[in-house]
This record gives sequence, C-alpha cells and structure tokens, in this order.
Amino acid sequence: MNDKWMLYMRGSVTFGLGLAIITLLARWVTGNTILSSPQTLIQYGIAGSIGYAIAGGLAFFFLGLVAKRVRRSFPEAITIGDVLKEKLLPSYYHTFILMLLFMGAYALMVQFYAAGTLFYYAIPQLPLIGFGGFLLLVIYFGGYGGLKKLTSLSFYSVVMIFLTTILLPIYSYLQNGISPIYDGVKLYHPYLFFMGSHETVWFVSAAILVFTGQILTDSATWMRIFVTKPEKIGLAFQSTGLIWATVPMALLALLLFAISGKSFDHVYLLIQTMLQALDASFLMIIFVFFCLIAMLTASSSELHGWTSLLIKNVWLEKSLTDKQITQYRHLSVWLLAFILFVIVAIVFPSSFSLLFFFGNLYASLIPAVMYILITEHRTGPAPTIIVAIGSVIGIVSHLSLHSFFSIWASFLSACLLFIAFYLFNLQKYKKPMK
Amino acid sequence: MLTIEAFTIFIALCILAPILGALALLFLLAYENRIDLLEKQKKEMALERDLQEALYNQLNQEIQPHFFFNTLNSLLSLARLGRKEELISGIENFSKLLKHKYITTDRTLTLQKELEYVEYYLAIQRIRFRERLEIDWQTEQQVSSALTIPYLVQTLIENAFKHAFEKNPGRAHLIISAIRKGSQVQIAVTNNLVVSSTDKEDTTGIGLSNLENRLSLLFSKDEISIESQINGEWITVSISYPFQYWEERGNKNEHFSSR
Repeated sequence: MNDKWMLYMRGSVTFGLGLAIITLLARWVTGNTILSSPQTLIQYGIAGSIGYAIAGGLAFFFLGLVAKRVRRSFPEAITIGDVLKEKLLPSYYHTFILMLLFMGAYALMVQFYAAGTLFYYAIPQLPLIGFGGFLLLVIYFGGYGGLKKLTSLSFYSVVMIFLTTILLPIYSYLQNGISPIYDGVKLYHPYLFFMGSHETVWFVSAAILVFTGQILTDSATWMRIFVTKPEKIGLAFQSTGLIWATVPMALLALLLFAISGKSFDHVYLLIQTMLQALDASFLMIIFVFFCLIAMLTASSSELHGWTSLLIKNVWLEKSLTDKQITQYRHLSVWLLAFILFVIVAIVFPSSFSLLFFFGNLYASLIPAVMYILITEHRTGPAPTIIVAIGSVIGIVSHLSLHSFFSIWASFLSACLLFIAFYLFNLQKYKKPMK
Repeated sequence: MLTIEAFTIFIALCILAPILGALALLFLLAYENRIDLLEKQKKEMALERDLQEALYNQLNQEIQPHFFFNTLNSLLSLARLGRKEELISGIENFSKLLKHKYITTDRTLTLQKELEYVEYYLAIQRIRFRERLEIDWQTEQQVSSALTIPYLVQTLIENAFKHAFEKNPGRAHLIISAIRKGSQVQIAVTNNLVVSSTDKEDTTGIGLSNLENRLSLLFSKDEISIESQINGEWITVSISYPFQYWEERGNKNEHFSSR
C-alpha cells in the first residue's frame, strides 16, 4: 500500500492512553451533544439529562470491552472494513461496507445540521456563508488532512471543551449564586425538578442502545482503536466514557442557569438564550468557539473515517492506481459535502428527531456487529437480513408504540434472531474433536 | 421533586466533574510515559529474576548430573573409536550449548536464536541416539524474528528426551513446529515413546507450568495457551502466545514491538 494513503489513514504514531482519550473525546463531543442537551432537559428534566450523560458513558464502557478483543485479534487492521472482510463472505462484506458508508454519511449529516443550527443563531444574516466556510474546513481536515492533522486539531478541541465546561459554569454560578438560580428554575420551570417519570427511564434505555449502535458502527472510532496500543484500549474507553459524561452535565448546569427566572419561546432558541445569559462577551466567544471547534473536529473525524473506508475497503481492493484513487477521493469528498450542504440548507428537522431517526437501525446493528466480531467463523447474509428484519419490526411497532419502545423492539428482535441463528448453526460450526 | 440541597450537590458535581476529568487527562499526558516505563522495568525485573531461577533449575537439575556425564561419555566413545570429525563437531556443539547456558542473560530472544541452541542440543543428542533419533522440523520463516523467552522450546525437547526417549526403547521421533496462526505464534513439539502413565504426567508437569508463568510476565494470561494432547504413545505439547517482533536496542537492553 502506498505510504501516502497509510499516512492519511493511520497517521505516524501509535496512540497511548492520553492521545486515545483526546481523539475519542474530540470525536464524540459533537454538535448533537451540544444541541440535544436543551431538548433533553426540557422534555425529560434534570433526570433525563443525567441519564443522557450516563447513557453515553455506558456506551463507551461497552465498546471498550469489545474493542480490546477486536484489536488483539486483528493487529494489522486499519479500518472496521478490514475486520468485516475477514468475518463476512465477499458479497455480504460489500453490502455491509455500503451500509457503513451510508450510516457514516448520515452521521455526518447530523453533524452538519448541528453546525447549520449554530450558524443560524450565531450569524442569522449570513448563516449559509458561515456554514459553507465551516464545510471547507471540514473538507480540509477530514478529506485531506489525515489522522495526524486531526490529532492536532483534537488537542485544541479538548482544550476548548475543558475551558468551556469548567470556566462557564463556575463563572455563572459564582456570579449569581446557586440559590437564586434554583428559585428561578423552580418558579418558571418546576417540571424540570420532577424525577420519577417512566418515560425518562425508557428514554435513557433507548439512548444507551442508540449511542452504543452509533459508536459501534462508527468507522472513525474504529480507526482510533486500531492505532491505539492494545493494552491501553480498555482504560482509554472507560476514561473517555467518564470524561465525556461530564460535558452534557456541565452543559446542563449552564442551561439551568440560562433559563432561570425566564421563559423561552422555543426549545431550539435555548442555545441563543444561553448565549445571551453569558453577559460577558469573552464567555460568549469561548462558548461559540467551543461549539465550532467541537463540531469541526467531530465532522472532520467522521469524514476522515468515511473516506478511509472508501480508500481501504473499496478503491485499494479494486487495485486502482494512486492517480485514480486521488481523483475518486476529490470527487467523493466534494460531492458528499455538496449534497449534505444542499440537504442542510433546504430541510430543517429538529436535532432530537435526527438523533433517534435511525434508532431502529442502530439498535438492530448492535447484535449484528457483535455477532460478526465475536464469532470465529465467516458469516453469510444472516447479519444483513437480521438487521433489515429488526429495523422493519421496530418501524412497524412504531405505529402503535412509542419510538423508544420501538428501538427496544428492534434490538430485542434482532438479538432473538441471532440467538436462533446461532443455535441453528451450532452443530455446523462446532469444531471436530481431535 | 429536587430540593435545594440536592440541587446544590448536583451543581457542585457538574462543576467539579470536568475539573477532575481535565486533571486526570493532564496527569495522564504528563506521566503516561513514566508509568509505562515503570511497568516495563517491573516486568523486566520479574523476567530477569525468573530467568535466573530458570537458569538455576536448568544448570543444577538437568545439565550437571544427567546430560553432562552422558554427553562426556558419548564424546569419550567417539574418541576411543577414533571418529575425529564427529568428535570435533560434538565438542563444538557442546561448547556452544554450554556457552549459551552459562552466559545467557537475555530476558527475551528471537525464536530463530532459541531454535539455534535447540539445534546444538539435538546435535549432541544425535551422537548418543544416532540412527534411533528422527527429527522433523516444520518451522515457518516468518516466525524466525518473533519474540520468545529463553529455553522455551528446549524445555519441551528436553522433556521428550528425559521422559520418553531415554526411558523407553524404539525409534525416537521428534517433530518440532513453529508457525504463525493469525496474531499468535504456535510452537509445538511432538514425540513418541510415551508409554507409561508416569511418563505422561512427567512430560506435562512442572516444566510447563514454569513456562506458563514466565510467558505470563510478557503477555496477559488469556493470550497464552499451553496444551498437551496424548494420542497412544504420542504426545504433542503446544504453546501459543501473541506474535511480537523482537527488536534490539543498545547492548543488552531489548524491547519488543507489537504488531
């Protein structure tokens, strides 16, 4: 393989614990983390927000257990596609790669929506120009920069994450005091303090599934796993889970401060309310810069993972020349960015609906990916078919059930189908005794 | 309903958690290399201690009373018979083997080097066993630079001689294989003439658990597997551990790189 592509995909260093945590944090503190926090708070109260943070943390813990095993079993893999190639029969491997590419493009669209929303509120006069500039930076870092540049960017992103999550809540609560903020929230939004809702429990449990599905199928995360020292992976994911959970918590504290003693028109305007509540302009700049760099790093990492999957598991396997790969990379990166730019500019869904939009697919993918990764033998069409069945069951059940129940329906039906499939094939795959 | 006290604790947690996270990350970035170095030193010290113990066991229990006199007797016979060429080759191999046994201070070495010493040992045994001994080598080139510990293969082979070939008459077959299986190195020694149940117990005894202990200083226990399989009078002892390249740094400090 050409060194140029290797350098683009893997960078030049092996990650230790510190670098692994930094790059994973930078990848997963996304625009959605920032923008879905207000909605979680308003719809499910403080309990929901705490649950949201715990759900994300737990997903990292879970992936840490799987990643450690996969990293040791496939020491020379670069992308998750390399693992799938070993574990799936050729035609189903290509189907799965297509599915991962689609999910990657969707995840990138979610990031772009969050960035678009931020630009819409930060510079309402020229949101598209701001968003266009953001897109160019994403293409520069993700499409062309490679893992080395992304690692440097991640470092600045993590510095900004900590600066914001430490400085802003301390400043707000020291300046105003906890008691007046509590009284202000209790007066205008007493429902936020209510703790015993069943719906919150279902939201948190569904969030665990969606987060796990997202992280498990994220090619950017797997690329970071494959450049991390095997013995550090478990601790890296556990630490990332713990540190990541502090970000929604700090944002929650900021939001409570922002809505204390006042009402709001629309939940999407809460970010604007929060910006206005930070009366010192330097705090506002810090917050906007934090949002921008977090979204930039997450989007660039996503684009990098997506492009690497194309390079390693599609183009290099077709034995294309370097020149052809370079041309295809230009085309795919710019085309994807353009399509997503048009979608974001035309359609404006809520960030929350986006987060759970493919919830059924993510939930069905968990047992599928786990089955592929954990079993010893090569698998045929079963994972793809079961993911499709699980997703359809979830979507159909959505007609009569709440969306969170339908996510569980997808997950459980896919799990049951895999158990049945495994038991059915147990005899076939049983190794003969020597 | 959340009380003011609970709210205060909750906000304190929201503020403190990122600070603790940032401090933990800073600590990791600043001290990760030192922690790694300390861990590595600890492992190396344990390996060295273990090597000394292994050397002690090898020298005192196996070479001196048993192998040493047998080899000298064999060499004496060669001298009496006037087989000069064989005598020279035998003394040369014996000298190389002793040099390795007495001088080795390496905590790890390449599989190629370990197999080289095994060849010296087998060359000496061939003087004694002559046509009775049949050796089949099945080693892959790609594992030659793999990391291993001293006396790993030799312990298995010495077991074969001690508990099978020297005790029981008949043709002595020995199959030595070293292959790469995915991310693992698999070393297997197969021999025949394991007749009694005592032979079987002895072949799979203390020596193997000692090897497992030594390997676990380099790799985690779930990555190591030591298995013995008995089939009639044949026994195969196979050891599997993660494939890592051995790299030399400086004079005597070696380290290993993961692939």
